[in-house]
Amino acid sequence: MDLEEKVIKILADVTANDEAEVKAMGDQDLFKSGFLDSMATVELLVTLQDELGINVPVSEFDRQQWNTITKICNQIKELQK
Amino acid sequence: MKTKHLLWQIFGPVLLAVLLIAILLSLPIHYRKVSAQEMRKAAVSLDTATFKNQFLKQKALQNKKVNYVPFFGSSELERMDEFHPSVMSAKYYNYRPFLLGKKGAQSLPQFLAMETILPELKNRKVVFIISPQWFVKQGISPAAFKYYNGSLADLTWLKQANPHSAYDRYLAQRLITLLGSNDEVSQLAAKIAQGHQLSSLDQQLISVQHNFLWHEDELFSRFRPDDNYLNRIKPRLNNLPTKYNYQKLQTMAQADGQKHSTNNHFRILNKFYAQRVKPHYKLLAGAEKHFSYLQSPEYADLELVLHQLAKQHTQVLFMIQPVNTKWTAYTKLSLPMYYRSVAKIKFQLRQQGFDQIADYSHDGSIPYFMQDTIHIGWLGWVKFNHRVNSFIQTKQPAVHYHLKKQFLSRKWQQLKPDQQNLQRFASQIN
Amino acid sequence: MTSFLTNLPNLKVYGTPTYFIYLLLAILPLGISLYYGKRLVKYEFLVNLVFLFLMFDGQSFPQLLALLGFLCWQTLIVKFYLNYRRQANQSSVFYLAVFLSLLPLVIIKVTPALIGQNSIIGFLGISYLTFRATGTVIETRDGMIQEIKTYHFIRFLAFMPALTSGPIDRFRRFEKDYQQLPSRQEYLQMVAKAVNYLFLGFLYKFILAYYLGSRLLPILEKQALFYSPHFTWYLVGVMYVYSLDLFFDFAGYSLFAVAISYLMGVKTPMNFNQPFISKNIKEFWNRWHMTLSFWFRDYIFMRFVFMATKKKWIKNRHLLSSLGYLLNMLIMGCWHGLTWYYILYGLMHGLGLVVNDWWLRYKKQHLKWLPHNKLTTGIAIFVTFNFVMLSFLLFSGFLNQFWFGSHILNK
Repeated sequence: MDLEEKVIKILADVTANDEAEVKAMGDQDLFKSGFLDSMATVELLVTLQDELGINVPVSEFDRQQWNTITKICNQIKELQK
Repeated sequence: MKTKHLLWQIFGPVLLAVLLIAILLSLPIHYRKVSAQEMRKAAVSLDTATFKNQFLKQKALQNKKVNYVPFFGSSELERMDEFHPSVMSAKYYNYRPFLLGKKGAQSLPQFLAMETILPELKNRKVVFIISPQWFVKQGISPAAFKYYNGSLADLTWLKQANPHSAYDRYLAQRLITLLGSNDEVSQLAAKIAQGHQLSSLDQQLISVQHNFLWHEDELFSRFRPDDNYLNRIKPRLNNLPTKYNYQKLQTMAQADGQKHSTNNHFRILNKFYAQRVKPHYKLLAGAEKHFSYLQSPEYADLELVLHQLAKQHTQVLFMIQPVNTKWTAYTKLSLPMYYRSVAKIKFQLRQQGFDQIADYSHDGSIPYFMQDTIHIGWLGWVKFNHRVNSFIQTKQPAVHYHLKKQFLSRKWQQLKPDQQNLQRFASQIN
Repeated sequence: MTSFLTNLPNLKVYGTPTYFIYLLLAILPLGISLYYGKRLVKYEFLVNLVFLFLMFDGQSFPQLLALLGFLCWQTLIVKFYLNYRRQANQSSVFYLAVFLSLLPLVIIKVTPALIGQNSIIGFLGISYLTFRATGTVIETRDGMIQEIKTYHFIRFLAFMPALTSGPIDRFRRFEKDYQQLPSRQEYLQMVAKAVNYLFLGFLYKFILAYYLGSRLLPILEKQALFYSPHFTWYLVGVMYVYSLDLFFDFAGYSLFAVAISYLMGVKTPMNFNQPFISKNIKEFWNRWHMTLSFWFRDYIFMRFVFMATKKKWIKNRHLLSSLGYLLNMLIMGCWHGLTWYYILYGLMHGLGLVVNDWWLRYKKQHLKWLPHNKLTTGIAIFVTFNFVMLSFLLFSGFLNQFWFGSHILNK
């Protein structure tokens, strides 16, 4: 499973949507569209920590850097280095 | 080059706006007319900005259709019951009061309020209500003075202030005392007080400011609160009988007073009693025992007003306000002291030819002549209106005022008035 | 000395045209130097100092002492904690640091409720400074802040344009503006925005808020109180006029603060973003008093939820988020002051967020047929707007007077 698929699966989990719906978001702003909220964000961070072992402090979480699927993937790649 | 363009884009509109405002406020163009309704509202608005500025007062007094009579006074003008001059004149008389002054507006604010309508006061009939309570040891408080003081009136005075006139020097000194020496007006007044002419630069700066303020007044006078007419005057018109009947109105006023003063034995309006008296009832017992209206700078301040009115040959009906004697018995205000202060005031008026005086100082014990502790109301208003009306309707003999500078002196301010002292003072000045 | 100080004139922040003239003249040299790519650090310090002084001199002089004491206190805490954090990371020490940082604010919030008068350690704007300081402690714990220079921290904490009522900036963001000067093009864009914000602020604060708050509101309040405690439509008038006044007054002030910051080359974040077009209450809090709401979101809600999820205190995510909302909003309510109406206001918004989440879920599962068009959007905006208005009526404290106040005749 590549990273993007994983991210989509996680996003589907934390937002209680189908994976297809997540994919349909494409490059839309996930916060502006109301797709991600604070609660889902926290779940995303916890899941990333549990499943991928990436530690993102809440302070570090800058919404501007995490607001599309592509950006999330990039951030994760960055942090995995 | 490009940044220059940007700078212009940013600040251009700001500069343009500033320029437009400056043009709007400085060109000698008159922008607006005042409707009859607006004058009617302004005349009863008791608005402080209207009081200290010029435009609405001037327009109302200049208009030819309605005869506005300036009523200079203080807190009693706020007592708008059925028999208030504005209500009764709207119902019965061919003139309308233009109310000037609220609580705490004493001689000096009145003087400056007149300053912006001098041409309109020329040979005019006006009413001036004097409250002996003004004549306390310190005179008007700086806070009250500042509340009623406006730059437009100050500058209007400064423009023609004469350093050789004792009156102008006295006023200059008072302004410095009341406004504090740091105030811009005080700094100009200081020159007058010291007997120096204002420099031509001063004069020019005053002119520019005066012009700005004048236009500001003209433009913004339309945004003043004016709900008194609709809320407090108009609804009361229907409560009065259609035909004027002096006897019947007096009976009515007394009945009204009786009906509305049931929660106390002072014959004070219920609402006033509940709000202003009852919470401090105990404290007020004997509270006015040591009050004195005998010595006060207010006597000289009043002299400024008289001088002003005399110069304009204004015909003045003075009214002297009574005190509620049931009330003074409780607060222990000394009635002999009060009568002596009234005598001093009347002496100052009569000595200089101001003979039209409605002296109600002895009527404070007549039931329902007063609405509360120190304010005329109900029956008092009916009698007062009757008097004012006959003053307005009858042709008055030409005025012969003869002003005496000595009434500005500290000696007069501090003179303890009794028969002897007053007579001695009279012999010194004549 | 003290009597001399208490006699000096006191300038009300952004209160009069004269204040703006003084302020703009004072920062003009800063602007010119920024245009030429330099920051006049010492001069800026001087301007900050003089204007802080003018804010708090005269009768408010004791507040100036309180402010100085506060700045020392917070700087010590932050410096000590940073030093500690470089060596260890005990939770207890972190909580102690946060507690100490919040302590002055807690004291001044609790004092009136206990002894009926204001605490002497208070000063205008203490809440906003506390949020900045506590935020810095929290970010230090997360390891996001590695270095804090004393002067830089004080400059951030007591940044003059935003001192009395925010916006609440963050240390890292603020420092970035000082490390990286804007280019001439960027700076001019900031100036253009500043001019625009200033004039919009004039419109908001000096025209709209003045008319609503000083002209209309007293009349409506008087009428409503006249019939109190019985309902009249005047009460509805009070509700709308008070709320709009609150917005225009505060948004106007915030625009001034942001504009002056921009002129000084600092991109202080915006506080309001057309809050009344929000379609639901969650969106409202992303548009209303944003810097405060984001502070609460990042430092209270997200942290609480994060910890509860990790430690598996509560499994049900809906229950957890509901608790988070209520906690978040109740703390915000209490921060406004310990009175029944502020606390109820917090509770009301907390419940509003809970219901809002529930409704969004319900709609998604059961009301898929519900169209998304202008009409439904309009209804959503209308409902949200009126909910907010009602909450502000509560917030205003007017109901306290309306229901429990002495009757008008006894005043």
